[in-house]
Amino acid sequence: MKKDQIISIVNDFLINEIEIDETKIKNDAHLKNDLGIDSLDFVDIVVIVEKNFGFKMNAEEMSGVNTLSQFYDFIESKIVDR
Amino acid sequence: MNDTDRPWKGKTGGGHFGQKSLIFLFKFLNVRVGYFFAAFAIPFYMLFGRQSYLAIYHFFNQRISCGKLTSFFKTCKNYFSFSQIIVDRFSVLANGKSKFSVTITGQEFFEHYINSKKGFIMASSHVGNFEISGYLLHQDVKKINSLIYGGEAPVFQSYREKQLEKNNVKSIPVTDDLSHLFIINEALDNGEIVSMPCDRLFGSNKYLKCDFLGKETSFPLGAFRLSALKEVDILSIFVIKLSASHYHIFLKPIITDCIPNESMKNKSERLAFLYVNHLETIVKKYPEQWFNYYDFWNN
Repeated sequence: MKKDQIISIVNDFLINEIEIDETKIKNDAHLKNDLGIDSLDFVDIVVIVEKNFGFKMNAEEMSGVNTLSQFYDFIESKIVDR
Repeated sequence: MNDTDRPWKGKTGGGHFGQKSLIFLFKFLNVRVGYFFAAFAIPFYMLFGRQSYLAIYHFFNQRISCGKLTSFFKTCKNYFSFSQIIVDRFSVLANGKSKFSVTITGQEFFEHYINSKKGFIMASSHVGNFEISGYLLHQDVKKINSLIYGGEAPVFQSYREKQLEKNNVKSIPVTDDLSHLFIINEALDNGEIVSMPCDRLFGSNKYLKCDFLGKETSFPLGAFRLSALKEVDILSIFVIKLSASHYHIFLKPIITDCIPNESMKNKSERLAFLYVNHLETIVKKYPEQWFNYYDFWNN
C-alpha cells in the first residue's frame, strides 16, 4: 500500500467518523492538542487501523506518535514490516 | 459549565487503613452487624458532604417530583441503602464470594452471550450494586474485563484484583497512557466480556445529550461507540438490592435495527438513547438506589 493511500484512508476516517474539521488535518497537527483526539477516539483509531491495515497497535508502539505525520509513518512502517 | 467538566472527579472515599480494616473485619462479621455500625456514619456524611447531600435531595425533589419533606426522608433512605451497598461490597470482597441469594431477570440473554464466540459489552450505571455482579453471575466460560476508574487505596485495589480473579473477573484501571484501551480492544477480539459504566462522563468529549428524568443531561458514548465500531452487542445490567440478603439482577440487550450505511456516530447515539431509556425505567422503579452523589444534571 502506498503512503498516499494510507493518508487518504486515515484522513477519511478522521473527517467522517471522528468529525475532525478538514482544515485542521495537516501533517504537523498534534493528535491530541490540535485535532482534539481523546481516549475514546483512540479506541476508534485502534479498531479502524486493524480493519483497514490489518495489524494491531499496542500502547508501547504508539507512545512516540504525537503528530499526524508520525502516525502516517507509523502505519507505513508497520505495513512494510509485515 | 462544560459537560465534560461535570464534577465527578473519579475518586472514591475511604482511606488506606479504613479499607484494609473493613476487609479484615468482614471476614468474620455478618453484614447486618456492618449495616448497624454503618448507619452511625450516615449523619456525618449527610452533614459534612453538603454537595453530595444536595445532589441526592434535588434528585428526589426535582427529578422524582417528591415534596420537600419526602425528599429529605428519601435522601436519608438513599444514604442508608448506599451504606448497605458498601458493606455488601466489603463483605463479598473479604470472603471472595457472594453469600447473597439472587433472582435474575433475563438470564437467558446472559447465557446466550457467554455461549457465543463473540465478545460483548456489559453496560452498567451507578444504580444498585453493579460492583458485585461478577460474584453474583459467577461463570467460567468468558473472562469479564471490568473497567474501573480507580481512586481507591492501592492495597484495596490489589486485594480486589486478587479476589475478582477467583471469579473470572479482571479489573482494568483507566490509565493516562491509554493502555486500557488496547486491553479492552484485545479482550473483545478474544471473545471476552468488557464491563463498563455508562453514566459518568470522565475525560471524553463524546457524549449524547438527551432528556433523562425530565431534564436534559449528557451520557458518555464510549461503550456504544465501541459496540458500533466492533459490531459487538451490549447487555445492560442492573444489580438491585431487595433485602439484607437478596439481590435482583436485571439483564437486557440493547439492540437497534440495522440501518444500511449508517454512520458509526448515528448508531452509537441510537444505542445510547435506548440504554438511557432503560436506565430511566430502572431509576424510576428504584430511585433510592441512585448513587450518583454529584450534580448529574449540572443544575
